[in-house]
Amino acid sequence: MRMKTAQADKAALDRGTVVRGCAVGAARGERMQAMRSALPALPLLVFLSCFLVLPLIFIFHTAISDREIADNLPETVAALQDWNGDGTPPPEVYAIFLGEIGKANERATLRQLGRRMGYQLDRGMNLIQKAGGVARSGAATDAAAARTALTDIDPAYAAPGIWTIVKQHGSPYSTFYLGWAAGFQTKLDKDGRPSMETGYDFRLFYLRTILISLAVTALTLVVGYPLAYVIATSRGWVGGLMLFCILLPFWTSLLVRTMSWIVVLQTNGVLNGVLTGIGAVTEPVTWLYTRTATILVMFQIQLPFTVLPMLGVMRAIPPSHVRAARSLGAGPIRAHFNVYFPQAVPGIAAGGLLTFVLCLGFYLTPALVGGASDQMISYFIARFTNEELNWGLASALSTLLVVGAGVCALPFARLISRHSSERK
Amino acid sequence: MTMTQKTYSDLPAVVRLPLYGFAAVILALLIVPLAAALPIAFNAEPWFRYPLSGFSWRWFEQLLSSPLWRSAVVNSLIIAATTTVLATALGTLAAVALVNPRFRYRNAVMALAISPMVVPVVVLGLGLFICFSPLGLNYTYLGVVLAHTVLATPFVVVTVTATLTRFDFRLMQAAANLGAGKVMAFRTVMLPIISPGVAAGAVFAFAASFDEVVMVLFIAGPDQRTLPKQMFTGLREQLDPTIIAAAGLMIVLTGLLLAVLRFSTKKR
Repeated sequence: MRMKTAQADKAALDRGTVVRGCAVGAARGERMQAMRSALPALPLLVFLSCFLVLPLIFIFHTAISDREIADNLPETVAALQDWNGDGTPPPEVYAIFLGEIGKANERATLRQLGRRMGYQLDRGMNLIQKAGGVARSGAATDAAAARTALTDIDPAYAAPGIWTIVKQHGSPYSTFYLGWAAGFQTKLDKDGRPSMETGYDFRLFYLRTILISLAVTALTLVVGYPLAYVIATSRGWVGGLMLFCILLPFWTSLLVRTMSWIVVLQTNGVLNGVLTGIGAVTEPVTWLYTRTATILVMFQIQLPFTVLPMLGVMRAIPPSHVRAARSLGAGPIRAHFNVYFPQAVPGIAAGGLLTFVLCLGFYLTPALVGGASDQMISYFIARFTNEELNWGLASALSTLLVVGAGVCALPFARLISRHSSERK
Repeated sequence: MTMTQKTYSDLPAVVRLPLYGFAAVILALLIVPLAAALPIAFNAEPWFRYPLSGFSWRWFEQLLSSPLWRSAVVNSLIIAATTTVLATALGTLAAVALVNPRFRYRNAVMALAISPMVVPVVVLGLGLFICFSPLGLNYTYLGVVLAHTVLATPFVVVTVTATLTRFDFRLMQAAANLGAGKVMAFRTVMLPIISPGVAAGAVFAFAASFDEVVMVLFIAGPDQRTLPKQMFTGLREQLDPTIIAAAGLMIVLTGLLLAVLRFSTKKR
């Protein structure tokens, strides 16, 4: 009896293991299937990791990299650690500095160092080039001679400004470019005081970017809502024609649409031709290269992007709801704003958010129809990359733009996706 | 009954008429600049006013005979065609995974896949420029094609995923029961059925690359000068009706592709 139960137990146990084994196998199989289901996405994932995620990481890395002083003047930085920042450092520092400038000259990295110094110090490039000249001449043999040679060639070497900068930027990473992009005073004069030179006011450029984007978004919302309502409630060929009028510009190239506005608005353009033709004006009016033109063209380009998400939501609103409100005694306006409008809000929010985020990154349109004072932050990113070759600053400006846009957009995007999932 | 419904759903004429008038004005604003600008490509004189001084093809002739413009057209076609092939392959494959409910991270991957649509192009251009510079890909055709593929793939992903949501996945099971492997079933069953969606995605990818100028400003050298780049330079310097002719060419080409697509899918 006991034997029998033991055997039964053993059999049960065996069966248990088998069952458990099956479960493990099934779970593994499921995991395998789940992994296999991801397989087709793998090429795109690898591609986007290399050419989307990695570039964004590189931008952030470039924004916080500050290598020139760390790479070229490591011993000078070390020697300056004991200097308290008052007056000038001891003569030995000058000798070490001159030695390292000589080495940088041989490595042909002196220009990079000079450019970096120029970002932060008045005449910084010039100072480094002069030091390069002294190092090449080889006249300075001991510490005192090095000091005399440098202070003789430029009195700025007898002031604390340059030494403060070298001491503070000895690490290969710093927040220098981010601070510069965020509009903090970063440039110093030879005495280490804030420079009198006027640099770029990046805070103004960010503010301008945000204000233009807000203005365009507000315009597209105010104009787009009634337009979307009319299209959503129209049937037949009228509705089709109206939809076509929205979709045609939506699928037309941004460049072509901006070009068409230049043809219309330029001084010898279509609009001035019509206006002088009908005698409304005698002198051609300047429309282009103004803030008004920038906002008008951006508004016209973004309108389909705002209207289409609204249209999608509005088409799903059952007409019976408004009818019910009307039959319960609400007037047409009241029924619209109490019943129809609240249901359209997710579409309005999605359209507005999309337009705002896209506007923040606008480059082409302001560059072509805006004046010098209408350029947005993208223009400066392109300019610092392609013309001034200051990748650190361009990267810092990009980092702030992307992080700022993300911080603005994410809570709204969450809200919208939650709303739209509730609707389902 | 229908009459009462109409009375309840319609706004009063006092509101409705101005509303329709307003909509008409705004829709006109969307179309009129294009409609006013494009005919100037046929103007006999280099003026930008109406009435046109005469009809001529001279700006289109200039577009196709000047070596600068012609090489720009050829470059654009080469780059857009290569981009289309790459983006369509990557996007279509990814879409198959993105509609599979077993794929756990598909929301995150979808967000990543369509993010190039909202990240500022200038930022992407800078990032790729920094990334490409140690690889020697700046100022090469390959670099421009890779950059354009990043921008074009989202269009394919969105279009093909939308098509696949209407696809009957039991067909794949049927193919598997008949002994087809995954790849075989994809090639012989799924791909022919979703091909209109794939073709639409390819057209959008082509248009995205053919229009693109900002990436080209960052990545391309003088040898990869494309049609939009040539137009952009012209717009910044001196407006010339050849630019309008180039815009006309771009619209006609994209329109033609869309029309062919529409026609071929309707015939099915």
